Amino acid sequence: MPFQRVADKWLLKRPFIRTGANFFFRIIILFSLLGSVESPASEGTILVLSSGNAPVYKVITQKLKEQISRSCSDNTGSCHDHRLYDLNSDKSEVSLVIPAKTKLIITLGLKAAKAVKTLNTGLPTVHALLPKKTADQVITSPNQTAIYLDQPTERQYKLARLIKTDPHIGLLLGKNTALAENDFLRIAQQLSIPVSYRLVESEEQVGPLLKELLEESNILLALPDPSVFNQRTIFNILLSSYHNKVPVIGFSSAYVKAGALISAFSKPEDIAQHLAEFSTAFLHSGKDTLPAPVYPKYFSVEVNRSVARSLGISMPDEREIIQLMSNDTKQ
Amino acid sequence: MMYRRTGPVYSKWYWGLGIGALSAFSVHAMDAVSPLDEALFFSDIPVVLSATRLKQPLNDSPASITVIDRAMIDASGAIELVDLLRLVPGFQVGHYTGSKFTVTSHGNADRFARDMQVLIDGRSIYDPAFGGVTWSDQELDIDDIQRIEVIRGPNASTHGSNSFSGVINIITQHPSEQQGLRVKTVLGGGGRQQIYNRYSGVEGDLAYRIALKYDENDGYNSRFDSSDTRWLGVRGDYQINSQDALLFELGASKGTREDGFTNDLVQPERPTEDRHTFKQLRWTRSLEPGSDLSFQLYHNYQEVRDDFSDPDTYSPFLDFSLGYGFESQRYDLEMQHNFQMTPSQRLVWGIGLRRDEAKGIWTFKRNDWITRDQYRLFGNLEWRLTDHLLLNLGGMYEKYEKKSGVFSPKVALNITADEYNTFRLSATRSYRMPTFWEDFSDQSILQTGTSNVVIDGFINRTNLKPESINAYELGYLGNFQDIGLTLDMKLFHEEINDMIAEIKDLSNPLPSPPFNSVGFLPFEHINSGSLNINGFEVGLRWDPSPRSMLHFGYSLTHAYGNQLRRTNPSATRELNNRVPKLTASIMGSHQFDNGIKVSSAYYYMDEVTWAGDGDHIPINRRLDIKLTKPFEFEKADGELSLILQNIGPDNDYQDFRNDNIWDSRVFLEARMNWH
Repeated sequence: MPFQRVADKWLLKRPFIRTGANFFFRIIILFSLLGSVESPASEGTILVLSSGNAPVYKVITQKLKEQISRSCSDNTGSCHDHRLYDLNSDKSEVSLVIPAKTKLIITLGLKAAKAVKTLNTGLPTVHALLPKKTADQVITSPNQTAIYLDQPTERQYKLARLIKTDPHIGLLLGKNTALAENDFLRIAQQLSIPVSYRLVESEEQVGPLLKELLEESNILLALPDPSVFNQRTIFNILLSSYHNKVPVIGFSSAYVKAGALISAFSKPEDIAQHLAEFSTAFLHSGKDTLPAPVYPKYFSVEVNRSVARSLGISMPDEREIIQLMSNDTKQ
Repeated sequence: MMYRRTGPVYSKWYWGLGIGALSAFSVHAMDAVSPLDEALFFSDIPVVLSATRLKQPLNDSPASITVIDRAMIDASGAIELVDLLRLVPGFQVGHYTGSKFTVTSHGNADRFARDMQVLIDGRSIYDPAFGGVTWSDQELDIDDIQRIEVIRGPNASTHGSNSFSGVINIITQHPSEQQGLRVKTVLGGGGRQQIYNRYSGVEGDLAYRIALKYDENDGYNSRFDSSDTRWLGVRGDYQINSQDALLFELGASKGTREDGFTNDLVQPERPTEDRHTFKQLRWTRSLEPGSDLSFQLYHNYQEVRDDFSDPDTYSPFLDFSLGYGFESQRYDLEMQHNFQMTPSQRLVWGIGLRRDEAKGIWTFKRNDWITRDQYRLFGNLEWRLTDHLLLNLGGMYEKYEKKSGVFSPKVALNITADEYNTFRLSATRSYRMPTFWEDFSDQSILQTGTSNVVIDGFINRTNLKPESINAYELGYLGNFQDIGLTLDMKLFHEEINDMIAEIKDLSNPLPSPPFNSVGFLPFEHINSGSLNINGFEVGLRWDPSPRSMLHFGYSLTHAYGNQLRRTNPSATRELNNRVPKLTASIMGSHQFDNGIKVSSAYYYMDEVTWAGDGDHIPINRRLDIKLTKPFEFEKADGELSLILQNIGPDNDYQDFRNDNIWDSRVFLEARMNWH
């Protein structure tokens, strides 16, 4: 998969901006008003830029298309044309055309977000599939916003209350999460859930700090921070937690398969739904200003029943969990 | 899988070991400060808690299970692994010498307790030649044990052949859980000197442990039984991709064990040499949560060198030689499939092939391997009939070469009254195949340097049937998680039939003079006798706080039975005393605010008659106390323990034999870990 290899290198190994710009400019033949040839009579085009051709992008663009077409058939008044582009090195000779009447750009993933940022289109842009920390770095002007990929801390904490009546959450914070330390504590206080945490400065500390944490807490919240949660540490984290009868809350479907008790996360379908609603609302409003970045409105929950059974924890079914979590908000 | 990256761009050397299926995480970890992207949320990670790694909850189990976890291991102050098993209700431990131990459930054992399946990480360590386990030769330290699950009662359908009176299932720690360097030393009474080092690390997708140990002790003051052992053990866990994992373990040990008795012609005081090796490989594929498939291959090898000559006693008329040495090995291949058939039905099934081999010029009069192949088919269906009823239906069919095939069924019904209380009814049958010694023993006292037989010691003439056991249980499990209490009780009835008895057939011709008396006739093995055991057992574990723990184990039995001890004319031996009436243990531990941990254990075993080399011994009482002070440095931590063993009153008890006299022992144990 040459493209993915290039993408890896491109994203993670090089100073981003310059390389990104070069790459992007190479594939742009035209950035002009000529695009209207391909999108006749578009009232307000939505341009979707994917970061690759992995299934996640395809599912989102497909669902988005369906959602928006549905809103077209519902609303006879204003129906918005939409176009979809994939950033793909295999098609580097293909021209990237930003249609004349583009009203909104949606980026899917980091590569697309950075590419659009480099182009400096001045067009309203919503970044999806970016973790909050990354999105906050990418967004530098008011005509950009985001639908974050990660779940709000409240949502994760509420899961803990469904697992145990007296949750005490353990957190291992690393390079990517240490700055959010105060948020983690503030929200815990608001929800009156006790929290213990440790700051992990180097990977060797994960073992000893985890051991301390597992003595103090009864639920471990895994965080999307690869400086702590990665291939080398995942065995220790999931096994030690299990051996201490401490269930783990993950942040992806893969975590549940690996041995976390439960994860709340936004599936591509959830993100597509949110994007569709966001786009139609924005284009309908006719406003130029974008709302502030938000966490994903829709999410899914998965439970590892084998782990639950082994730990002697009875969990309601997934739909009920989501219901219970929204009830929790209302209280 | 929604998002996958294949082929890392910049690999480290050790990735060369892999098959290249590294997930996005490895890439991230190399450069954790680059902005997080979406891959983190959509990429696969290895299945860590595969179905076989997950413990079945106790209230779903078809048998009574005692779990000895790290907290109990740490509190026990045990220096010898076998001493941990005193905590299991109904279990007895005998120290035949300072390095040879026997562990049995409900008595009825000699120094080679043949009634127990013992597994380390799924590998049976049962010695096919003489039976039992050469505990001191095993390449395993107490510090590497994650937990020991002891199934009290037969359970062949899930734990294989020889799960007769119980199963000891030892699970070692995953290397990723114990990363760093550990050094442990133990010094103390009875000439104990022990040093144990291990290094555990993670390199890419490989987690590994390398451990080395040297251990010596002088055994009983009253016996010639000093010993030393050194071993090397390795465990590796390699994650091929998110679904497939390889486990490999290997080890080698050797040691000298003194044995024998003063003025005993056939068991004089002498050193014996033990050697042991093993290798194990298991591939596990996780199919989906709750389901996996595994293939396992292992090989164990055991050698005991033990033979001697006596030129003096009958000098100048006779210089004779005798030996007990042997070699044995076991190859085993097994496939196991663990899966959820429907939401209410789980099935574990598998097939296994095994080759056991033994040889010994002194014990079998053969210098070539005697082989015995076995194949087996096993399965257990766990069927949740309703929210309150769980049915376990299991069985194993096994066929040994030159023996009739046998089927070991198991049926158990668990009735969950409410979230705290579960009742269990179970019935099961299991078999114990004769050991090579029982089937093929051929041992004689020879004139030194010749093959001239002076006296035959053991000659077996019968193709023995396996011993069988039928067990019926009424069990109760109280699981009061809110207060940290687990209470396990059972009433049981066990019937052991076709017992393998050591007899003398007086119709055999007498040896030539001067040994022409009945006392010099050889022993042989036949199927004879039965033993019935009725009893009541209690296991209690209470953790009133995360820092405190209380354990209690209790077993009360009534046993009756007899078997032949000689034929033509026949005479029987009574077996009623082979099972101690009362066995109990109590252990408590607490950690104070200043970090100091105090624990104490008390063990009680009624008078019992050990078979074979054992004696009828009076009550055993043992009181142990352990004090531990943990300490921490910047990149290291450790603990210092003072262990007092057998410091209570009446502590001069006899263990296994009348001449094995215990005294009190003091040990100092120090552990250091560098992360």
